[in-house]
Amino acid sequence: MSKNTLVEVKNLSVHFPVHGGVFSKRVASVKAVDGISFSIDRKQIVGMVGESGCGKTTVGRAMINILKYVAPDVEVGGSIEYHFGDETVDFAKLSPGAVRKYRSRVQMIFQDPYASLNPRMTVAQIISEPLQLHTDMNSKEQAERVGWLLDKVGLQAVQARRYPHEFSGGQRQRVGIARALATNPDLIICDEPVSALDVSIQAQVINLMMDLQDEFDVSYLFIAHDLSVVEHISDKIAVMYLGDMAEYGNAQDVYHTPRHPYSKALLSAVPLPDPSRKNRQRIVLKGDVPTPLNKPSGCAFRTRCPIAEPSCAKIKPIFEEHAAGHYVACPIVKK
Amino acid sequence: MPEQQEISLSILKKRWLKFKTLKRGYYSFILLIVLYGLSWFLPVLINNRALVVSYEGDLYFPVLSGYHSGSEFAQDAPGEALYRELQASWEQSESDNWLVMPIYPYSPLEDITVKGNKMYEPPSRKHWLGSDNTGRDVFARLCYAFNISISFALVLTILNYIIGVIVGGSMGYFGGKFDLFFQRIIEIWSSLPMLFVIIIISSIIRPSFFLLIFIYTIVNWIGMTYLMRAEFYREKSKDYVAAALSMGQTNFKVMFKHILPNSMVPIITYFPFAIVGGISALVGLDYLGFGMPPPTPSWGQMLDVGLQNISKWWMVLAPVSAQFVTLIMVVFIGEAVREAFDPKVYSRLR
Repeated sequence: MSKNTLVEVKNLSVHFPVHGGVFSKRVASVKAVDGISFSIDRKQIVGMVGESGCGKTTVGRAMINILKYVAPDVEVGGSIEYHFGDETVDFAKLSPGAVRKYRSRVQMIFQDPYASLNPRMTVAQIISEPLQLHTDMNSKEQAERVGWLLDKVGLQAVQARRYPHEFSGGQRQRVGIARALATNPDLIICDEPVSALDVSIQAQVINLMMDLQDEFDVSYLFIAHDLSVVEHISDKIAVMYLGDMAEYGNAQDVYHTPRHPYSKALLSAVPLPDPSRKNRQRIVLKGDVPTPLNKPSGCAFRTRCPIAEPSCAKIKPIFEEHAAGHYVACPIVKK
Repeated sequence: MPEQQEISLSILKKRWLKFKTLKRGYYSFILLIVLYGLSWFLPVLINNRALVVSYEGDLYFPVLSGYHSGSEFAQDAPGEALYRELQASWEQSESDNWLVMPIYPYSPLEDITVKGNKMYEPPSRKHWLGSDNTGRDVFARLCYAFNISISFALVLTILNYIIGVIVGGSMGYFGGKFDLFFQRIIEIWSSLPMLFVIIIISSIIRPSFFLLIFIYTIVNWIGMTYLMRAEFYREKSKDYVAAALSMGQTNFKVMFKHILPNSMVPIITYFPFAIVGGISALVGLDYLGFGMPPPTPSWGQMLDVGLQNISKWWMVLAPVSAQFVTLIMVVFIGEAVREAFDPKVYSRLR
């Protein structure tokens, strides 16, 4: 761990038990996240990609510790260690009351800008809520801060009195960004922040987020399924498949020299606006993602892997360093 | 930048503006509010006690001060002073004493024992809706019963809603074992035969206004829990709740500051119909004789007595019409509220 590390996720697992039968016995569990490890440095942007249902969002929600509110019987294993100044806090183990104190340091931007803003509150109320909770500003200072934040995200301070339904999708997402920035957090978890927006708006919002990252010295965990977006903004990229981490490394390395067969397939599917590369090799995966209720034995990807060997069914691949800072979970490609 | 013309309206304000355009419901609402407000001033509008008495240079206010015996005003009769007679005799003798009676100088409780009252008097200028089998004025009783009926329904509904929202909301919000446990309790509880419980209780203790509300609340809060459980269950999975939680808001605040304002639709749209239910429940109990203790003016009791004297048409028609008009006004309000809350108008796809 370097001095600059903000959060270290070690062996994180999130299991949702499934009950059935007459006495609601536990019959199985959905292994949404099954032992992943990565770390985020200060002022770093880590992109996280993967197909839908692979556990990206669950990782994000586990990292702000709100899974228990929606699914009270969820099992979170491993550790999520934040280093705030001299303090080291493990979000995976703290009680909800103890976590509350550190909530201002980690914030979230949500995917759906229509659902993430309370329709009954004005923009001023929405943005000043974290200020009320975590600062001792009086209402005048709060209003000033709200105006300043709105200005930062490219809205006008007079729009603070409006309700969310009077804004467009892009404007709402800007309000969501302003809310996340209100308390000067160390880390913002961006859960597909642009995938619900028009392509033309996406670029604006992403550029805004990058400008704000410079200004506020904040780290992002940028969850997305659009690889070209992630490559554009990330320092590091993590590729997930069915609750496991397939590959993790510097953005350039992962994007240009992917090692894991899944990353290769994913990257070959990125549309390129370049007709001269029309005939590049396209790796098409067969079949569907298996259900996380009943994951394949050994390597979860083996059922669709073009280079799978019989041994893949036996041993779960170790997530190990193949090159400097480049971790891959595939023993076959190492050879 | 030009001055912003458009004023931002909350969703509730928009719905209120829409409600105002639905004339039938809106005017019923205004009328009912005004009538109910007025009904709190009934003791100074409809009463057999004088508002002001000036006797031998002293001023008395019997409406406020209560009982004054007849001898205090040199009236030759036992018991309370008969202000209507006093007024008539002072006017006749042109004395310096004077008194001011309320607009309608009859009380709902004075019966045939008061001099001058007769049984089964048909409607006249004196008794607007006649008098009943004990010589009580039907119009005065009707008006006092209106106040009691609406108050009963309001208190009952609000109490039910408070309990229903808290229990149902917690069930939907916390879910899991808490939800499972309370669902079973509610299933058992709702199988209580309410009418029999009330009949048994009111045959042991004499029911009062608040006892009746208590008994009804025991069972009636359940209806709201189903709705609120579903509402909270749906709302809690939305991202604005996750956002509130991720900024460290407490469960209590999330439930009542974030989720509840977004779950008001069933509360408000059911409210008028719950009022209808409350009024009808009291009428039913009173009619069966298990409601308010006897001298209390109530529509159910008037209906009961009226049916026993069916040939005296005013005794049946008065309570039936009063109930009909009141209930239909509440239903008009309910319909207008429902229409004002129609999500089609203010959906995202406007």
